[in-house]
Amino acid sequence: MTSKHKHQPPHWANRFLRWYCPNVLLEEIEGDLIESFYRQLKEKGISAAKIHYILEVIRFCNPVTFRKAKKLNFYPHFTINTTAMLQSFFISSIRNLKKNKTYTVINVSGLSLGIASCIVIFVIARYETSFDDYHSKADRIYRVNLNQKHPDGRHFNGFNFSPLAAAIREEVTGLEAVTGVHCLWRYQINKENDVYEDKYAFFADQEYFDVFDVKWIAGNQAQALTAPNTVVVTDVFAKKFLGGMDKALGNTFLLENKVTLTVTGIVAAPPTNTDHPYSILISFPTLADFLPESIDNWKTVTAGATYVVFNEDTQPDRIYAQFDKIIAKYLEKDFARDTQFFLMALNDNHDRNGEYNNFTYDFPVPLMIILAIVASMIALIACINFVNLATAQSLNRAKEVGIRKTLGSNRFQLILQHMSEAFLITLMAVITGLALAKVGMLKLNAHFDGDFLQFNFLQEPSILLFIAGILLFITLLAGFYPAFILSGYRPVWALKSQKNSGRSKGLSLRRGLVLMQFIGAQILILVTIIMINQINHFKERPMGFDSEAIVLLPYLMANEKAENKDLQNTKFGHELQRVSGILSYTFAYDTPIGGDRVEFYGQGGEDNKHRGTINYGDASYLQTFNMELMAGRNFSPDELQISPEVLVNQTLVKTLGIESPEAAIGAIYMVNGHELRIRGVIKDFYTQPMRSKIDPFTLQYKSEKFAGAAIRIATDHVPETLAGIEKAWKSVFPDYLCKYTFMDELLNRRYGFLNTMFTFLSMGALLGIFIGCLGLYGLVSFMAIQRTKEIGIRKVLGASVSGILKIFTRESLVLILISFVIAAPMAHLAGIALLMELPERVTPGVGIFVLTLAATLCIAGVTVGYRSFRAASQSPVDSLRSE
Amino acid sequence: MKGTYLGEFEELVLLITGILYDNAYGVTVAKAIGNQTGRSVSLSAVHTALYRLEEKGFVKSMLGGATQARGGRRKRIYVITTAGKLALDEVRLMRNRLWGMIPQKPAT
Repeated sequence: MTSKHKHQPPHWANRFLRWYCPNVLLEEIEGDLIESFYRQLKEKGISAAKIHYILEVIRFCNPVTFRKAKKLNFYPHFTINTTAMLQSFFISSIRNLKKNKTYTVINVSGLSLGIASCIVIFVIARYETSFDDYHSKADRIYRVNLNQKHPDGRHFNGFNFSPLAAAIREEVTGLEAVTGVHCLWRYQINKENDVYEDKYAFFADQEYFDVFDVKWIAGNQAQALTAPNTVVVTDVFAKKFLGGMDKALGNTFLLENKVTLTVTGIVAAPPTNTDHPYSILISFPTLADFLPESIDNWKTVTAGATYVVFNEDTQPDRIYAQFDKIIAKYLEKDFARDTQFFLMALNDNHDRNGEYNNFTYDFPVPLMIILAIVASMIALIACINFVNLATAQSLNRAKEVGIRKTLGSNRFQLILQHMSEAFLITLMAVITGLALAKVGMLKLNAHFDGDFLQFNFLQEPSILLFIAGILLFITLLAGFYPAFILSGYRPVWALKSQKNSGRSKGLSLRRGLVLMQFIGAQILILVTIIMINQINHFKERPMGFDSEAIVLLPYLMANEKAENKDLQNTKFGHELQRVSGILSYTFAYDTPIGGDRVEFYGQGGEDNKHRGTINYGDASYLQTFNMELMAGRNFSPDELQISPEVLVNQTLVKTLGIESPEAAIGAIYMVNGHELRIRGVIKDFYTQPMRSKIDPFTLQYKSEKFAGAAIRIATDHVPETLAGIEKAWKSVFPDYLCKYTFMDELLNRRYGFLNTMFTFLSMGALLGIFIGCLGLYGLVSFMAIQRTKEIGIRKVLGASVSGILKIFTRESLVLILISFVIAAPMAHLAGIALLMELPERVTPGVGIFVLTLAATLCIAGVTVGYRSFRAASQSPVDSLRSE
Repeated sequence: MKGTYLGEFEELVLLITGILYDNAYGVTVAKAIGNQTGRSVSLSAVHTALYRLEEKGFVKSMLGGATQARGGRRKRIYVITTAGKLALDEVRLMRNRLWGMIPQKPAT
């Protein structure tokens, strides 16, 4: 007997049992458990008995127990007139919302902004993750990526050798279909005397249709892409350039002034969420004509990708083994050693691309997560508003609660009432939020120039479900606490109308919540500013060359022979000289941040290879891009077609192991099997926009490589100058479109990831601080109303307006200061984490933090100050009269 | 008839309830199953089975006396009903019939 009193079943398990177990069953279950516990205690000892007890308690928590309890519950239910009750709740909610208009407006606008940002982010995430999911074989399609080891590290390439598809088709078993594509990002077509331009032409073979889903409209699908010089066009293309769908079949046009194509089929334009947004599909055999160097080219990779479809039962291991055979068979020996193929699921080619490239653009998952975090922070700040305002207001509603309770409402019903009020507000916010989200999406679509984000929430169950989820979640999150507090008032206390008691408790919670809001908002602001700083750093660091006011004209007669090209260049050069406003122009292969990757070696011999870039340009290259020559001589203006003497940058000189630029003049090194002699050394410049590493750079004069002109223009009279350039172009190349781009645009695009993140973050920061201030405003107004009399008396007793202002603003400002102290280190860490992968991370300076603090204090100060000034300047006569 | 099917464990519990006569409640049934078959069963499983049997009308229950060992809590005593006995009979008859139908293998 004594042992029984010494050992008891675990308390918390018991408490859990009592919590969940219906009363009718509690006695017998508890009795059985206790009896069994002491039995176990005797047989197996205390710990075994305890464990047994706990397990049993958990096991009893099952649906059968509850069902049984329901049946046993023979007390007659009170039947409440639920409809009337809900109706009354609804009416009182609406009355209450009407009565407190400020409160309603603040809540609805805050929440709707939060909800709108959640919806927009959801739609974006859904769109970006849906890339290429629509193909019926999507789960079996893989892209063959290229993974190569180079002296300077691994190179990841989503593109692959052009002849690879044919080789796989021949050598690899276990695949249902194989297709190779080659992409022209921009192309021009000539039809009769007109020249047009469009985006995304894909060379594709006949098996393309076995791999990817293509919706066929007209033409013979089985044979459309087998012959050279055939093309399948989309309906959009047919309407735009060929005079309609009925005229398209059999029509011909000239591509890039190189090959004539005959239309053999019409397909529906692909949806936008694909990595192959083709406007035309050109038969793959045509590529041999179009790009002769692609034939049997197992050395360099241009813009071709290879896709395979697995058989249902194929395992990747089996394919990899066969890939090794292909590598060994087709690639050069030392090249083959460093090359691997890697299969990447088609669905990953947009959001989990890693360092592999693709045809369109990447939207990495981490970016999505950041966006989701920003959106949920905004929503959270809005929810806090709701909780805050509702609790602040709770005192005004204590009487209502008291009367309801006296009349027999139980706590559950009261919670239901306040929840239904929260639901009503959230519902209004959701409806407004939907409208806002729609507007936001239209704006985004317009910004990215397309129709990407679809928002037909009535047709799409996923969005509908998401919105319902948001509605429920926010109702619970925002409504639960106020409902809990309000319903907890004891009627006696509530009806006695002693308003002062209980205030301090709610106040400290409200302070905590405001603190949280401002921590969130300030983190967003700080991170945004850190981003701005980083982007500016990249944009403003001296690149070592100029990118401003440089017009790039690509596309210069890529198909002409070298002699012809020289002639054309000279002609075009003459025309350009007549255009006023041109400071300098150069014919070149690429800009200083472009060029081809090559391997080179110097005295160290072939075992000591390095990687760098090579570019081709003429004598005015340095002048046009404003690059500085440190030693040696530039090319002479009357250079021959190709010169073995080249210009290099300092890094290359260092890489070759030569001490000074001067000493490097005349040095000989090998690039791609050619001997080159250094004739001049260029001062180092950044060869890549977002890297701090500088690649060894070679500039050679080789006119057959020139692929465009770069023209530096004066910044005044830009439109006239551009018109002049266009005219000059037309007179020399009437068959080609004059498609110039500005170099700084090109550079800007390279910062894309940072830019996107920055746009969303700054939007988030703005919304966050705005909603936070809304809440602050609401709180202060409640405080002002509640303390009207106090203010009146203070004024009567001689308090000044500024003194009263101080009472009100001091607290808010202190809260913001505290929140800043918490937010600053967090934002610092977040900023560092966000920019982790970038070189030359800018450490956020003190200035940023001071700026943020000042801005927040200012915004919040104005908000609070405005409201409290109104309260403070009220005449005491009015405020004291009301009774 | 739906709902009157007797599961294996339910049959066992029903049999034990019959054996224990007027002392069948959660703990005793669980213990008896342990003693008779060597199976260790959880209390909740026994309760669940008893609830089900009661729903099917094979047992009926009433609240019985409290003992010191139960911390003064009453127990729910289960008694087998006529329908329960009939169900057991039926199961046994069916078993016997099926047993009889197994062809006897000639000894080789």
